[in-house]
Amino acid sequence: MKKSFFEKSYLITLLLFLILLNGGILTLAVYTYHSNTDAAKKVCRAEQFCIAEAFEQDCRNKSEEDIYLLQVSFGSFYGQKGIGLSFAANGKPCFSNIPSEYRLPEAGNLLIETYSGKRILMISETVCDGNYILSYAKDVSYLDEELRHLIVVFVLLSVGVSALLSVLLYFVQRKLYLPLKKLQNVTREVARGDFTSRADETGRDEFSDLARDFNRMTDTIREQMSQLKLAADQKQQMLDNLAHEMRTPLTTIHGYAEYAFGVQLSEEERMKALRAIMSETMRLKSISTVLLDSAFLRENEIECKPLSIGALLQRCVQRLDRIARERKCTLCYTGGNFALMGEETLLEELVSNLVENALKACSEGGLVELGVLETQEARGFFVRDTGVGMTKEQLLHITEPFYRTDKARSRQFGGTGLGLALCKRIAEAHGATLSFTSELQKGTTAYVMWASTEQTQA
Amino acid sequence: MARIMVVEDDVLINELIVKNLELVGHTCLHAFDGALALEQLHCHPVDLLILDVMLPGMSGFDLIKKVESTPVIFLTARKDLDDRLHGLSLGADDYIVKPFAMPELLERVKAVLRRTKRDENFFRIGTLAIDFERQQVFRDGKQIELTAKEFAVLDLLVTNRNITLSREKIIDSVWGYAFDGDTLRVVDVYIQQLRQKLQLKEQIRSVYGMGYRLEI
Repeated sequence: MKKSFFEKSYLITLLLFLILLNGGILTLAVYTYHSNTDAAKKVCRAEQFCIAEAFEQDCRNKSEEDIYLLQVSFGSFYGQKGIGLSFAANGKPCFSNIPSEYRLPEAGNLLIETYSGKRILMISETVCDGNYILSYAKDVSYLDEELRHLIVVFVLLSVGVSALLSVLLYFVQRKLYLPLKKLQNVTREVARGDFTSRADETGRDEFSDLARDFNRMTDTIREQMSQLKLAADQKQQMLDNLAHEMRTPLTTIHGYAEYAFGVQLSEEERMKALRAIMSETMRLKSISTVLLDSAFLRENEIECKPLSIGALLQRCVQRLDRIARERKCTLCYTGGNFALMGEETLLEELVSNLVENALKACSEGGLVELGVLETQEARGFFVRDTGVGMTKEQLLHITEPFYRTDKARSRQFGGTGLGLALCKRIAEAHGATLSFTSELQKGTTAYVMWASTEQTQA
Repeated sequence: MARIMVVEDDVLINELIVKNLELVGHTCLHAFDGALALEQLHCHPVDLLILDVMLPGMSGFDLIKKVESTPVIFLTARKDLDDRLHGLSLGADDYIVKPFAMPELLERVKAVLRRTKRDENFFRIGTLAIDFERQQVFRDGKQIELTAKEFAVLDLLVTNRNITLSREKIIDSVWGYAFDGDTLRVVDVYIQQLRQKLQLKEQIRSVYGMGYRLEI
């Protein structure tokens, strides 16, 4: 049968205590009996000695008959005091008022025997230079009486104390055990998944220490679980978005394929349908490329080389100038330079993405500026446009995968909706932060900044 | 035939829907965002609105509240049931989830138009008159007896006229169960019956390796 810790501890303590208590009481009883007996023996010996002395004195220079009479008078005198005396001369009994069934001890010995329910203490000694043996007998039944009395007292005491003890011990132990019980309940709640329940930390013993540790443990677990949940939610959100984003090009591809398949088309129309299929396929491809790039950045350390940010920005301006002119916008580099450690192609990708976004935000005649920015706390570069701008709400979400400030506009330019999410990742991989400021109808500025303490010097 | 406006911000999908609707004889308008659609609707009322839920500027749900008298079919990329219920409770007549196949869309367009009586229930091919409501076919006023299944195949061909229908598609739409090599031949039998009874040998064309197409 399963016994709780409380039961075990209670029973063991109680058992030990009862054994020791009753053992003690028993020892005490035995000791008391023995000391009482010893005391009785001493008293009897002293009495016997007195009688022997008196007898020796009285029978000095007396005839045998007188001595016999003396024996009789001694016998009757002490007989009234409850003491039996017996005299024997040279092994022959002379006078005795001790019942004959009592077996008297040898001379010089003391004996305690029980005769018909009575405890009789007997002493035999030689008196008058060994002429007589004086035997002394006294009823010491009162010793047994005392013993019985003692036992009754001790048994009552033992029972009383034991009962009291078991009750007190129960409450004391339960009080001590209570924090453990509470902790156990909390543990069960936590085990059921309720991580908000807290253990009682009051007190300064091991239980409260345990409770504190336990609370710390649940806090840590709860924190980690919420982090995991957040990560899982983000992943789910990302997956949902991905599914949504893939469905649109798929609808188009399937639709045009079906159209080309089922309808008699002119050559021109057929080409148009095929072009639509191809462009949507490219969109799917770029989504998968960006996803793979993100995955790569997440899984791998980038290889940093010293490079000049000014030169990098200038290269990007040259490369993207054609696109800017197609959209009838101006792209320029405003100067500034510093050296940093970074992966060149990734940083170019970052700049290109930011510039492309800036160009998309601009209408004809818009201006996109790239430049270096250095302050006391940080340095980095910015991409500023004179485009439509964004609201604060939009700014919060733009680096989320598949977030679009303006769905139609972004799609029109073949965006994947993943560009800024990738930018953020590239910046983070380089130890930089990507941030934005924006004003509606005035434009947006993207900043990629390294804190000055960061080791960006080549 | 009906006047239909397609409101969908994805240019390619919008064009695709318009092309398919025009093939089966409808007149189409198109708009790429909610505000423009509303503007056009004021000048050119239409019989049916095909409306994307996720539109820039004004969502499809916002737009439908302002055009209560026009039947609406929602296009939605979201599969959420909530969205559908929302769409239907706002008075949409039907919805279709992206990605969808064109015959499916045409089928729903036809169904909504018939339900809302915006489409005439008569269709004429030369001297042949088809009464969709009573499921009867007449040539020169004389009725031609068709079985229910034959009529269903004819209905499908007319709905998707000028578009090739595969045998699988026909089986799926008319019989509504999974097909195998043998059952596909059933379609050929029905097509032969229709060609004979209706004298439409020219119009119901076999497209080699693909299926059948009603050309008008």
